[in-house]
Amino acid sequence: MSKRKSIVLLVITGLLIAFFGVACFANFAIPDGLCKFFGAQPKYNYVSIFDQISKGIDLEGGYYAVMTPTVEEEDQEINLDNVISTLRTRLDDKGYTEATIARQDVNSLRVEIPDVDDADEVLELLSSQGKLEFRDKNGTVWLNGDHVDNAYVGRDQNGEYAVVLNFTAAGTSRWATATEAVYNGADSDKILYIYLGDTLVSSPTLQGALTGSSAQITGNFEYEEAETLAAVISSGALDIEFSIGETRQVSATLGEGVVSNALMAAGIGMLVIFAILILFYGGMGLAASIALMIYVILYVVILALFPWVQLTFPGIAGIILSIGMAVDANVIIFERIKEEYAAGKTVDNAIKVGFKRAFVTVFDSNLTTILASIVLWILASGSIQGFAITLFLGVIISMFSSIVVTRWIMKLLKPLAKEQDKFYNLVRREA
Amino acid sequence: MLNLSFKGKRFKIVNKFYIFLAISLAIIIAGAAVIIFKGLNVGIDFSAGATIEVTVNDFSGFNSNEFKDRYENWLKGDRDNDGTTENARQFNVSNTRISSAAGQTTFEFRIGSTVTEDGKVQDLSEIVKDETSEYYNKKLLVAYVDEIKDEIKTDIYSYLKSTYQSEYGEYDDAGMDEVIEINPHTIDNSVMLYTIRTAFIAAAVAIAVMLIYIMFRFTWISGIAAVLALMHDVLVMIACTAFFQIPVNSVFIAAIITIIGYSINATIIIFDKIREYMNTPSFDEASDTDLANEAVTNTLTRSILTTVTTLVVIVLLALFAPATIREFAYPIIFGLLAGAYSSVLLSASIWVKLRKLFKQSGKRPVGRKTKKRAA
Repeated sequence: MSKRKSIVLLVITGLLIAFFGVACFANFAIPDGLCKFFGAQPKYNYVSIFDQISKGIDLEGGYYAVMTPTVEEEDQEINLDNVISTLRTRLDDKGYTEATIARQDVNSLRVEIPDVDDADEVLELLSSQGKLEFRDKNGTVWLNGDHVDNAYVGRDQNGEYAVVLNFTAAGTSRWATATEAVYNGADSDKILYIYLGDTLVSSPTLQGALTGSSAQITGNFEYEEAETLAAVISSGALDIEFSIGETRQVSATLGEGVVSNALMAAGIGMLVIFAILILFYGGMGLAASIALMIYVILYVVILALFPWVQLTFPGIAGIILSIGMAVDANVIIFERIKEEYAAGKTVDNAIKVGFKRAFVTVFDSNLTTILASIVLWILASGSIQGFAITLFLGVIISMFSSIVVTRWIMKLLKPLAKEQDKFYNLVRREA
Repeated sequence: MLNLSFKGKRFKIVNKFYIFLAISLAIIIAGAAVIIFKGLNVGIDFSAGATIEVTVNDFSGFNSNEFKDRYENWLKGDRDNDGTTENARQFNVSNTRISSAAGQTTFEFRIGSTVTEDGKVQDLSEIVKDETSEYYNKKLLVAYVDEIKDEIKTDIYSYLKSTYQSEYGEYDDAGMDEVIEINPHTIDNSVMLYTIRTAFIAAAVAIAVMLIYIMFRFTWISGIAAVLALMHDVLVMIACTAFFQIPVNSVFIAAIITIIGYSINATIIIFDKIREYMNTPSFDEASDTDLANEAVTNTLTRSILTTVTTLVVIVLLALFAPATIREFAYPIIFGLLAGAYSSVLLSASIWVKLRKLFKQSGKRPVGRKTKKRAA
């Protein structure tokens, strides 16, 4: 490779690293002129790729609740899939589209919702079994949730928030029969008792037998309450009763503090690593440092590309360890090169043989970690799983960066150094 | 530029095996003693209960210790801060955690799992199971804790307003909501215990898989030696965590798993070197002890540099991070140090001793002569 070509390629590499480095970590406002040029809305803010990585609520703040069925396991065949889809509907209706529902235990569900202001409403939404019943004073059930097609928030004649129900075809005819019976019943008090689970939501006095395909539930609701009620009724009842044992609201600021501190620590740590690598391995260390930057960028981009990879506390540890392993692989390779050169090989040969021989070592040590992370990924639950995924991805990317990328950068750097052995900090063994 | 080379030296590490082993055993036994007599600082994750987390914006003159004491006492039953307990609900508050980040201080008041009301002690988790309790229908412990939250919130607002008038005096309650955040948190340990159970099973399987891989790529004695070194690391980690009374919580489990996934590497590097020497004709006459000493010496530069670089990042993380993440970083630091110690000073020696025990000393890989000399 000519000196000119290597300089050009190095400059291009440097520019690409700078560009993607900014894209990965910097948040900034895009000037209005540029927005116009690309046809975007003015005042558009660029959000860094790192910030787009989906983060667990331990880092982003939010709310989580763990729901456990109250029935004994043997008593009932539990179909959690139905429950999950019912809860999903409720959360979506309420606007929590980013919420996740995951099985945490054989029978437990963990619901995580980022950005929650009103935890009480969420609890209501999740814990309500949602069994809607229209009863008369004797407790006879005339209609239930199955007769309701959908529900939404409307207003009653006084302008208060109310929940509007639309009945199904069967529901419409049941409704007529029910109001007729309650209104004209022999010993009836003309009151329709509307229950949600064990709670009496509303008890309107009928002014006559009613026909039509919709009804209103009134009760001086706040908008939020009405919205929750509508979401619960629309989604239908949960098959099983749940108790909510564990809940937590994580403050977003605390999480932000963790992330920004971790980033700062990682940043300074990288600089120290660069210094150590260059101090001990000269040009090889420089190549490894550039490769590490590329590694970080690749890692961030890949984490952002896979939305199912959630970055959590332990995930950060996985990342740090894979940085360690990337450095480790380079150190192993460089030590090997030094050894080969000391034994009398030329610089080029030492590098060639060093990479080749060290590969086996790096492969064996990294593969054990990869195997362990796969096992943890499959078998463990919760945050350990998040750790396993980041470690798995990290080790694979680190192998690529420390073996392929470092070597390539070394090739680019080679024409720039006059005295190869000094540049790479290589010494012959004393005779 | 620096050169860290141990070429031409040969540290007699195997010959001093029992000294190194004794140091490790001393740490582990001392840790066990601490655990027996003092116990681990078990975090609230493991026991059912609740916490109330209060985050206050820092401002000049804010006395976080005074705040902590006041509200610990409040939860213990001293509602009007006069040093006597009122006839109110009394909680066992312990290990309040204070952490500062981004200009805010967070207090995590841990309410124990029992509550005393009118002299009657009741299990917190039983309150929602008690049919006569008003919380029974909701089946929500959090509804109960929420009430405590509302009570303490009123008191915190008035306390801050009256004590720090210039700062909070002018705020109404909505304004206070902006600068103070109070989050109740309930814990049901059944799910936690499940997570731990799966974590242990997963860790055991992971170790087994690594063992099989090492047996396949190296020898079965190497595999057992590597796993013994790994267990040493985890034991030392637990011992150090007990010494420093670092909270043991779900994050600690993650830290152990982290070390399991990582620390085996260093040992493999050394065994890789031994494997290489075994295939090198000039080492044909070398004893196991010589091989091990040589391999450890020649990988020492790598062991030191890799440990230092990984430690740098994790120590920086511990320095910068708020308490929660520091509790995670400390055990990892212990684990990394234990891992470096065991791989350099113990693993190769264990390999030598095991070979002797199983009468394989000096044995070379079958069919070596026909192989090309390779790594």
